[in-house]
Amino acid sequence: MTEDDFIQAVKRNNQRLFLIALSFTKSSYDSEDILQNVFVKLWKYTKSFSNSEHIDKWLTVVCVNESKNYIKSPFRYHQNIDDCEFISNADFDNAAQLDLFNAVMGLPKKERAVIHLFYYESLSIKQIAQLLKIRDSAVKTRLSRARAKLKEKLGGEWIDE
Amino acid sequence: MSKKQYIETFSTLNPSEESIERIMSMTDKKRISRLNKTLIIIAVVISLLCSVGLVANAATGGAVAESVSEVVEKVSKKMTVLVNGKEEKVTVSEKIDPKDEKYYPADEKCYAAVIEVKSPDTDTKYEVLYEDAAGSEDKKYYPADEKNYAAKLESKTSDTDKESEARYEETADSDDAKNYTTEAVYNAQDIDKDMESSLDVALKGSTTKTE
Repeated sequence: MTEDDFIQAVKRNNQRLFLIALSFTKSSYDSEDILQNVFVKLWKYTKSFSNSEHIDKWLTVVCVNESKNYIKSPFRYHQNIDDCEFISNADFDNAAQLDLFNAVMGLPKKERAVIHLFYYESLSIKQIAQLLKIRDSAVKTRLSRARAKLKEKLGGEWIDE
Repeated sequence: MSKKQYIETFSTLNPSEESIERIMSMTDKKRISRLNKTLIIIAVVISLLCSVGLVANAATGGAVAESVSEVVEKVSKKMTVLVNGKEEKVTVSEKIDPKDEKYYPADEKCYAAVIEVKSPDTDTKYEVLYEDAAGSEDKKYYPADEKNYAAKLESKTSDTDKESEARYEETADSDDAKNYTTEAVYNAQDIDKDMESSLDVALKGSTTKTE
């Protein structure tokens, strides 16, 4: 991988990967650490990629695995989402966005990741199952539970698609 | 709330600029790291070579350094040699080693010569007049040395199909460099199967300095 390819990959994927990590960790600092680890792996990766989409998919898989390993790590500094400085500084356009963000972040870890991958990354149930290494039915169950909780938290404003 | 709103909400969240800059600077650090590694490897190789040379030189009592200086002193020198009045350019390597064998093309009659020059310790060009004791009219000029000159000639003439071996020795007084005469002994062996004979022929050689 050339330096230009790497910089382009960072510019193209940094926000997306950061949000995937955030859906797992609920911490902006941890997410930035994960983001850095992911790009270190990309920079050290010696095999060539066929195209930019290949790089993006590779980064998604690495980011999910890195996030899962990160939250399992016993050395991880656990930070409560309520104490996170990130939320208060987040520049949301309206109160509805803040409510949605808080509602999503209030979901359990497993459901939160599935919701994010389904709605933000637009991955199919099958793709999510492969990515998280779980069965399709488990993805459907988590998705269903998450939607129900969001509906409850957001007062019936959540529309399933 | 819908998928669109979800995307809009989370699109406002970004990692900090510091973390992005830190990630971007990874490439610079790696580039510097590679350069440092290369420089370190080069330095290690040079130091290893130096240390090996020093150890070898010490173990051989300075012989390595002498041989290295000898190689350095070995100069490839172009000289013009007259063969039958015809100029031929040859390369003469001057060595401190007293044995220096040169192979020169000689006359048109397939004459091959092996010349052994002893102690060529000067840069001076010399022409050595060599008269064939067998009565040939060929006169050959070879580069020689100011002090000592010894030539071993092996000749073969195509027209007679006879091989002869000649040894030409001469010594000269170094104080008399310009004009001196030498005594040479010419031993010719006729290797003809039917008649085998050896001849000791004294010949006169003269050298003239052509600086």
